[in-house]
Amino acid sequence: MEGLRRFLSRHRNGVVFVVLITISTIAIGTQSQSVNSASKHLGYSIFASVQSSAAEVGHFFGNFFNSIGELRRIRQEYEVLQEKVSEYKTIERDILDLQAENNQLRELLDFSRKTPLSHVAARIIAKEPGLLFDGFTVNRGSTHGIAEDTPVIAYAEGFSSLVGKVVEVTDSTAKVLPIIDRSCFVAAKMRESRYEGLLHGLGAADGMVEMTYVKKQAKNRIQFGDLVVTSGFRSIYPEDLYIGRVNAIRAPEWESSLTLEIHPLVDFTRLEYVFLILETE
Amino acid sequence: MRKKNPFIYAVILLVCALLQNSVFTSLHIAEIRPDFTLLLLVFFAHQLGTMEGKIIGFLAGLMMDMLGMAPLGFHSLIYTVIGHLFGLTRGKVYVDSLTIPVIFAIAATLITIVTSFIISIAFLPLRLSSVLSIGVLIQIGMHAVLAPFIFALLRVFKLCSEHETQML
Repeated sequence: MEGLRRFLSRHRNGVVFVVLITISTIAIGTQSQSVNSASKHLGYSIFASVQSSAAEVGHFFGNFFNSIGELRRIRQEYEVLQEKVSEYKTIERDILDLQAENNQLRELLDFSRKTPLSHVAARIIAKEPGLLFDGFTVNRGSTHGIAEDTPVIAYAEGFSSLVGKVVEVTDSTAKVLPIIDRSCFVAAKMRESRYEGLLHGLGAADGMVEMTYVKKQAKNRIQFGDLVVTSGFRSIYPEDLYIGRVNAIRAPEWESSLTLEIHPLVDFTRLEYVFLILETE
Repeated sequence: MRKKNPFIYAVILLVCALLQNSVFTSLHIAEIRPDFTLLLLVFFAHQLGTMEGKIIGFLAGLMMDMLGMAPLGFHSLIYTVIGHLFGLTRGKVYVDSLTIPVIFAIAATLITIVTSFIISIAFLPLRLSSVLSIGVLIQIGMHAVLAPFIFALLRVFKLCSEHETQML
């Protein structure tokens, strides 16, 4: 006992290092099959509200500094007005910007009204910082009717396009696993030829998804740019949600099926607003 | 060399971990975001030493795991290793304004990648190709560029100083 105590006091630094590494390794080992676990969810629940507040504070300061920039711009415009130079060009530019923004918001509103699926609009408040995991957090949670596996869509190129699914929910926020993540699988089919396959992400760095297990006889009936939609077959996703367009077709001789590279309709780098589908029936 | 209060460093690191994936999300190149928590941890561990370095690294990593999509233990393991290794440099490496911060940042990013690679092989085989993607090079570059500025900022707030090599 005395020997153990002497050993611990002599190698305190190393012992603490080994203990911390062991705790981390056990935690990864017990959770690597899924991103959800009770202990992680407990921690997430505690910090999610703080994270949400931090995002709001960030937006506040962002707007504050934007306002300063705006003030400077107005002052410059005033000087320009006094000199009576370039007045109409500046005004015209502002009108065009507003028109573009107005059109974008009108499109979103129109999409929200027309889509037959019951849904909740949400804003992205946090994004995954690392290289290995792709995901983001939205400002809607269980109090808004969101549950795990809720499908997430967005308006892209005039279509209801699939974004991903909810994997974790707190009262006010939800984590979304996008279709470009390597652990996200979606049952999909070709919109025209109706050939089915299994779709999975290739990571944010690629920004692409891959459709596998497509029958080889489909090769002559699939074209570049063909649309891919959800099949809805034994899936959490409703049928016929748009996913992307065929970007490349691979048909290795040693494989019995085709592999299609799909370019998602949704631009995940510019995504700001999404819609969470409440009822899929 | 006078030892700083590790509590202040821990709080700053935890706040940075909290803000990293919510407020700083717009700072990215091709969707690759710099890991500010990692860079701060490197300098803090160098200031505090190996024991405090690995403990604050473990805590910051734990918070990132809870807030992000990574399994619990992923970042805490990596940051514990980083905190421990860069804590060993305390009093042994003279930190100038440019060269050593850049070397520290590159070394820390490479250690992170190697540790991620080992964890991926053992637990997350689906993620293996992400570890070896072109994004890694972009992130190394970003960290190398940012490190001197972060170090300068920390010096302004007297959280980091240029150390003379300690004669032991």
